[in-house]
Amino acid sequence: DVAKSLRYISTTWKNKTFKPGEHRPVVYPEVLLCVEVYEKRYGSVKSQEFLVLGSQLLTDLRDNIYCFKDKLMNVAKQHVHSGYFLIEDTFYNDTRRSTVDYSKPILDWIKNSRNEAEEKWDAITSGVLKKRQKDLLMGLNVSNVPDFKSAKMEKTRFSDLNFRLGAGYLYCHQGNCKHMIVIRDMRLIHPEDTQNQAEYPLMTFQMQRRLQKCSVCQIFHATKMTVDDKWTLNNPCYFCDKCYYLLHYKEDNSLLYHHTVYDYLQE
Amino acid sequence: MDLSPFKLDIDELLADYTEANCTAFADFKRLWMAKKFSYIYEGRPKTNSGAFMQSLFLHCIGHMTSQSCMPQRLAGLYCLYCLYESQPYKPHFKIYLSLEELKKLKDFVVEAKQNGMAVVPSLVKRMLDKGMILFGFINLLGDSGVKQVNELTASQNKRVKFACDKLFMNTQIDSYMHMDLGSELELDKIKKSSLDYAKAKELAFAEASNIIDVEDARHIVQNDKLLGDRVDEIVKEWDAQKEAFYEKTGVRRDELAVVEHDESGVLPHENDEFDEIRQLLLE
Repeated sequence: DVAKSLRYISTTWKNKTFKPGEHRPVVYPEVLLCVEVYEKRYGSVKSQEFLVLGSQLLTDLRDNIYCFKDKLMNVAKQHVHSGYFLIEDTFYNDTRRSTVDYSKPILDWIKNSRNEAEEKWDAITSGVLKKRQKDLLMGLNVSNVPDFKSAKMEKTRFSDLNFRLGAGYLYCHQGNCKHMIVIRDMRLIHPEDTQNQAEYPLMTFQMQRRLQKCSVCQIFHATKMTVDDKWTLNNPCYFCDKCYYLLHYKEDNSLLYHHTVYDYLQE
Repeated sequence: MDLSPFKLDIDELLADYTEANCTAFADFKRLWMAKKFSYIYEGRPKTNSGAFMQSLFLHCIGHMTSQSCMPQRLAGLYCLYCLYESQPYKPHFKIYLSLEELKKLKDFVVEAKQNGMAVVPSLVKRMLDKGMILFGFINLLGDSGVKQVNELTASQNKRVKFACDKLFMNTQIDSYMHMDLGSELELDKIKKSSLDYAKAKELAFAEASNIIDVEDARHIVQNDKLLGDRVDEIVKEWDAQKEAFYEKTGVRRDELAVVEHDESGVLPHENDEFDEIRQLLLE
């Protein structure tokens, strides 16, 4: 377990993110934070890892977090710019381009349904007690609901935060897409680190994403997906544009047979 | 990745230097070269290089910040420096120091200077000038695990204490268990009043018999059981049941009083009924 945490303090990583044109020297003394972002579907799979300056705003990290759902909502023309980080007892809301406050329903619920909130909080912090145990411990106040607050993400710097290293915090966007983020390490910047503020956050880890290929030619990336297609081996089946039209349309562009087709978006 | 052989090698090197009872860095270098210690890197893993190097550094830091004798701690510092300078990786992996380790290093430098070892401040200054050290926050020398266990234990103790207080607080049952029914009902007063009432009744009846025919009311005087006597029987019955309860539960008035003042809330005597409660809490 010690060897595992030691992995994160290595400074030998390639500089994958280069933002040309701008150069702002780092002001000493400066703090570097190692922040990890985890997948929503597989909570134990790390998708990205960043080095962030302590003087940077939370929005700098938020803008660099990649999630496929952002891309999907963009294509569907339903993109919402709101989002929040929940760190300790504070919601940091991104209010730069949106008036939707994702933390407001939660704060209202805590205020209006105090008993339900306390019961849920106790269940979260204590696990589900057996009924007899719960009756015995009626009135237990070991884990009180914290006094949740909200703040603006674009006005908060990492140096303003109260956090614990290694604790799991929450990043929420597009309504209900929730990622766990962990601040893994904190150290002073080193002269051999990148000295340009504009290049931070530096991405030190990006999960490799596998692209779906066409099931027919195995050459091009898939752009179409068919369901209940009688001539295909798999259901659903993926096609590039060329193979899809060759298989499903005549030379005069009329349909050969009935099937269901969708556009496929690579993650 | 098992680093135990590497750590054993370091322990052996440091033990040899400590036995030689030297303090000079040149002596350490001579011992290092005699053992051909730079070949320790021939066994390095192909992956997780950073974890490998930091583990070696941490082992030396552990020796340097330990409570053992000065030559041992001195050897730890020398070994840390030599491991850094002889590492095969380019660029060099930096030495990660946490806040606690940095403070101990500072104390070590002060102590070494007081003992006349001028090489230690020079060596540390050289390490700082060359930028060998990363100043971090995470203490990797094992304190965090113990701290977490302590936090969990404290939380558990808090819950158990609350459960004991809740279960053993004074309740109506407690007052009934120790109630003296005789004094509660003022038995003596009742007896005296009923006796006076009986006498008054007899006197009234005797005087009335001289005037009128009282044959129809004779049964009032013939009631042979006084209220005081009947209440006395009830009190005796109550005391008998209370004694039986004491025997059955093993709880006495004075013992429970002691329990109430005991912060641990542990009963002096165990028995089946409280075992059930303990089992319930342990579920």
